[in-house]
Amino acid sequence: MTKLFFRRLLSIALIGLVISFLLFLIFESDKLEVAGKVLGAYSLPEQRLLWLEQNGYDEPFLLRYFQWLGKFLLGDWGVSLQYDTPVRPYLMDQLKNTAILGGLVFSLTLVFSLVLGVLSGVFEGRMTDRLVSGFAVLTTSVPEFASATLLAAVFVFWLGILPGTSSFQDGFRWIELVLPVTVLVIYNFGYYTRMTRASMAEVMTSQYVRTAILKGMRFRRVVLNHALRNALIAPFTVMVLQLNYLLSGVIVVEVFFGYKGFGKMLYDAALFGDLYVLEAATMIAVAIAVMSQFISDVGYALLNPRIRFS
Amino acid sequence: MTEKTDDEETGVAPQSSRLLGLWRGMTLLRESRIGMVGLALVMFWILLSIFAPILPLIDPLQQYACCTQLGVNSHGDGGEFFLLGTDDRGRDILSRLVWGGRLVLFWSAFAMFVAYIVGGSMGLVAGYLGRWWDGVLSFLANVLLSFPVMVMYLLVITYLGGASGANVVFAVTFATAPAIFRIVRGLILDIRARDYVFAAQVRGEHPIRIMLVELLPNVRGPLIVDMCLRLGYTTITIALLGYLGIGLPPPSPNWGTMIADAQQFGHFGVNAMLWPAIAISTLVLGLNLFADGLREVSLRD
Repeated sequence: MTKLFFRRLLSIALIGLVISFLLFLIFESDKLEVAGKVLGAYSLPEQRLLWLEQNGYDEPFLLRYFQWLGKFLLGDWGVSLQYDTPVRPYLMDQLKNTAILGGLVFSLTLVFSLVLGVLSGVFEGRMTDRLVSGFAVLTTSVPEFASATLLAAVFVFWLGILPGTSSFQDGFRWIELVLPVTVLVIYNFGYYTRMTRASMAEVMTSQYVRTAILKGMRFRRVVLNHALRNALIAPFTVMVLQLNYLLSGVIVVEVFFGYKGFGKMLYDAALFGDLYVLEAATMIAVAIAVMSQFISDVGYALLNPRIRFS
Repeated sequence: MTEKTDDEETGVAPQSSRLLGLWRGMTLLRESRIGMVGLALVMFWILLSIFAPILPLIDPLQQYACCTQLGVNSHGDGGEFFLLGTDDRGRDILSRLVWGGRLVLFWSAFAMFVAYIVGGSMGLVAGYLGRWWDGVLSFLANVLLSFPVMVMYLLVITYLGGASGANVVFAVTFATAPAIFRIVRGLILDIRARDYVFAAQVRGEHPIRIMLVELLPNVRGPLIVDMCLRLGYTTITIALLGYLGIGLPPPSPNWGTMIADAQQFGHFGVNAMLWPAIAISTLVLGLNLFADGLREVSLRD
């Protein structure tokens, strides 16, 4: 178990290292372009060369990479070119907003998909199952920007009961979170539900569940005490792994509703060419993705007694 | 793999029986009502896309000065009738919807095809040859899969040369080929120890021939289902990149771009943004249902 833990940790660290190198290669292998981005499009070539010299860009590429990585790990992320503020406090602010959005979405999705998935898995093939499964296929087929459009058309423009943007211009208001959260939950819950359903349905056909039912145990108890724990292992790993995709959805929804979060920041930085924000944001995004993989792997091993005791 | 070698290989014969097999597959699908609904939705959009040039549609790029109010059911000065209304530049929404579908379908099918060739061949090599091939390719796939997809799109398109068809295909390949690689590799690992593979090795067949003729045709079932689902995702991606303004360049109509264009007009843009949203949803729903139907039918026998 500890061996597995460390092996996964090592492989994740290696992947993180390779990705950070790739990112550095993409962003900073062309020194002159970096200088052009920092000093603006109208800077003279001499100015750019001078800037490169002053900022230590004449060092060999590999050395620069390790210096950059060290500075990143120590929290020195440079200054935003677009807003002229240090990147770290700005990014942390946006990340906090996204954490609110993502946390709400994740917990709501979890509750809905577990309840619906378990229900339809236990009663496989019956009416409940058909309804839930149909609904799940329907909602996963509507991409975030389309469901955002449909919901906005109904609740913002037709009924007029919800705000169409979530930029918190007059301070934080819960009502502005309703649409972004709903859109993301709708898109994500279908996949989780189907996973939970499949896993639950499989466990329900296993020998030990049949034995428990045959020996006269109450059905409710069989489901809650015996089947559920084993059925939740697979969905758990998938849900944590899907954080990666949730992040993608978050970018779209934040752009759609003008929500001032990490995703919108990343998008704006990419379009503007805000180099240091983009570097820090992609590193953070990758770190989240890699960490979630690690948690998913280790969590799976911890939850699954067959691996835990081997 | 040419027609001839395949026939020699399997011993079953020619074109007619293959067509018959296809027909039998189609009739099997008829047992799945969900699959039929999906097929109908997909065929609706495919047929519209194919026949777009000969349908009596108004030019999707033509701007009518009379009709820039984003109205519904409006009439043009020259007697044109805009069934679904016009957008902010006075262009016919119905026509843009059809032509946009053609564009989205073409590029997503093309991007998926390229991604499948890249990911599939990597998966074949890693699954069959194993050893260090597998190690290197799997690590590469793991690295690429650790990138959040949207981040990858943003990086590839904004950093490697702006919005264009080729870059979109490139970005989609980067993002989906690793996932295809994993699926193909897993399927190949499963069958590579079968007797017929061993027989082919003893016959002295070239590894490339074994991969393409012995292995690939035998994993086609799950791959076809995966293709349907993946075509749906790719369609979403193409439209999504259009929405974010980093996809196929305007003015060619694209469902995502249509939504983004109309969104800035708020209340007045609702009609213009509703139709593309419905279009993409029905197409993806069709693909998902079709894939479900295929899976259901293939599990049955």
